[in-house]
Amino acid sequence: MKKIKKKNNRKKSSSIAVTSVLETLLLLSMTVGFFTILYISVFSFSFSQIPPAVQILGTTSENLDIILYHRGGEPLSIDSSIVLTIENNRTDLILGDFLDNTSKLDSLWSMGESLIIPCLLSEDQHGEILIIDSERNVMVFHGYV
Amino acid sequence: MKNSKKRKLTSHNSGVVGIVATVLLIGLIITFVGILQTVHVPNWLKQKEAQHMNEVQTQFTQLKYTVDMLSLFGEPVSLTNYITLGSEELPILNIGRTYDTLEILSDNFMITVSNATDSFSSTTSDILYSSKNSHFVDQVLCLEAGTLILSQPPSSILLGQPLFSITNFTNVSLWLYNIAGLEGKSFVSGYGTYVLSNEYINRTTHSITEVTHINITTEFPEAWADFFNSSAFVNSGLSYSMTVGNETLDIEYNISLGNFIIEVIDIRSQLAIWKY
Repeated sequence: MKKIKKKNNRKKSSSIAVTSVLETLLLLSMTVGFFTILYISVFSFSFSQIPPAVQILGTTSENLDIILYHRGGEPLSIDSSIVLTIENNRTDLILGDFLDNTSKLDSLWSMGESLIIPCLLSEDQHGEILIIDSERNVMVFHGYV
Repeated sequence: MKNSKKRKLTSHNSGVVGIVATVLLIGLIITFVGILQTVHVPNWLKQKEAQHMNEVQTQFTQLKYTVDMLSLFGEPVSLTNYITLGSEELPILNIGRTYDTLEILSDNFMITVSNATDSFSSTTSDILYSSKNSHFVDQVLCLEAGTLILSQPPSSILLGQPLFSITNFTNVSLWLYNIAGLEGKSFVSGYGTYVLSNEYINRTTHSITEVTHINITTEFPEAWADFFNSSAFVNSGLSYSMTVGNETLDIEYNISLGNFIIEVIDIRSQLAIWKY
C-alpha cells in the first residue's frame, strides 16, 4: 500500500511541475504578444501634433492681393493648404500654387519668401485665412486681412 | 495531506502572478519613458528653443533702439543691453540646455557710394548672435551698420532698417554705425544673460552728389536688398536696377540721386566681462 501511495504522489507532483511550466510559457507569450500590440499601435500613431514654430505675416497690397510673408522659423511644405473665407464663402487653395518658381525649387516655403494670392477681395471686404500644414495636419496660421 | 498540498499550490501560483505583474509594470514603464524620450521631449525642446529665439529677437530690437537713441542724442555715454545666450534645460529630465555665441565682428560690412568721378567707402562691424539649437532651426541675428537682420542661412530678412531720410525725392541721408569692439571683449559663448555696453564716440558727415551707383559687401545681401526695395526708396520715383550676389549688392540708378549724405556714427561696444 505504501508503495502505491508513493507512485501516486510522484505522478501528481510531476503534473504540477508541467502545469506551472505551461502557465509560465503561456503568460510569457501573452506578455510578449501584449507588448508587441502595444508597441505597434503606439508607435504607428503620430504624436507630432504640435504645430511647427513659424512666423507668418499677412497683409494686402494696393490692388487687394493677399500677401503672406514667411518671417522665420520652420519651413512649410508647398502641399500645405490655405483656407480663405470671405463673407462665409470658403475657398481651399494649395500653398505651392502661389509661390514663384524659384521659391518652389526646394518644395518648401522658407524664410524670406512671399505668397501672393491675386485679388480675391473687393474693397471693404475682410478675409479670414487659415494655413494648415499638410505633413502634420495642424493649423500654423490664423489671421484676418 | 490534501490541505498541505493545496496550500503549496496556492502559494506557488501567487509567486508567478507577482513576477508577471513586475514584468508587466517594468514593460509599461519602459514603454512610457521610451515614448516620452523619443516623441515628446524633442517637441518640448523645439518649442523651448523657438521661444528663446523670440526672446533674443526682442532683445536685439532693444539693442537697435538703444544704439539709435545713442546716435540721435550724440552724448558720450554708455548704455547697457542684455542678451540671453542658450535655452534652459527641461525641468526634472535635466536635458536640452543649449549654448549660443555673441560676437562683435570687425570690418564685416562695406558700402561704396559713387558718382561719375568720385566715390566714398565706409567699413563697419557687426554685432552678431548665432544660435546653436539642437531641435529648432538655427538663426543668426545681426545688427549691421544700424540694420537689424534675421538670417536662417542661406536666407536673410530685414527686421529693422537703418536711420535714413529721403527729401525732395532724391536727397538721401543714411546713418551708418561703425561699431568697434574692444580687444578681448568681443566674443562670448555659453549659457546665461550677458551684458553688452555701447558708448557713443563720434559722428562724421560725408556728402557726395549725383550718386549713380551703390555697392554693398555683406553676408546678408537679401536683407539689404529688402531695405533698398522698401517703399521709401521705391516711392522716391527713381528707377534702378539691382543685382543680388552671394555677398554683394549692386544698385545702379538710371537718374542720379541729388545729394547722398552718409552720417557715420562711431560706437564702441564691449561684452562686459568685468573681471578682466
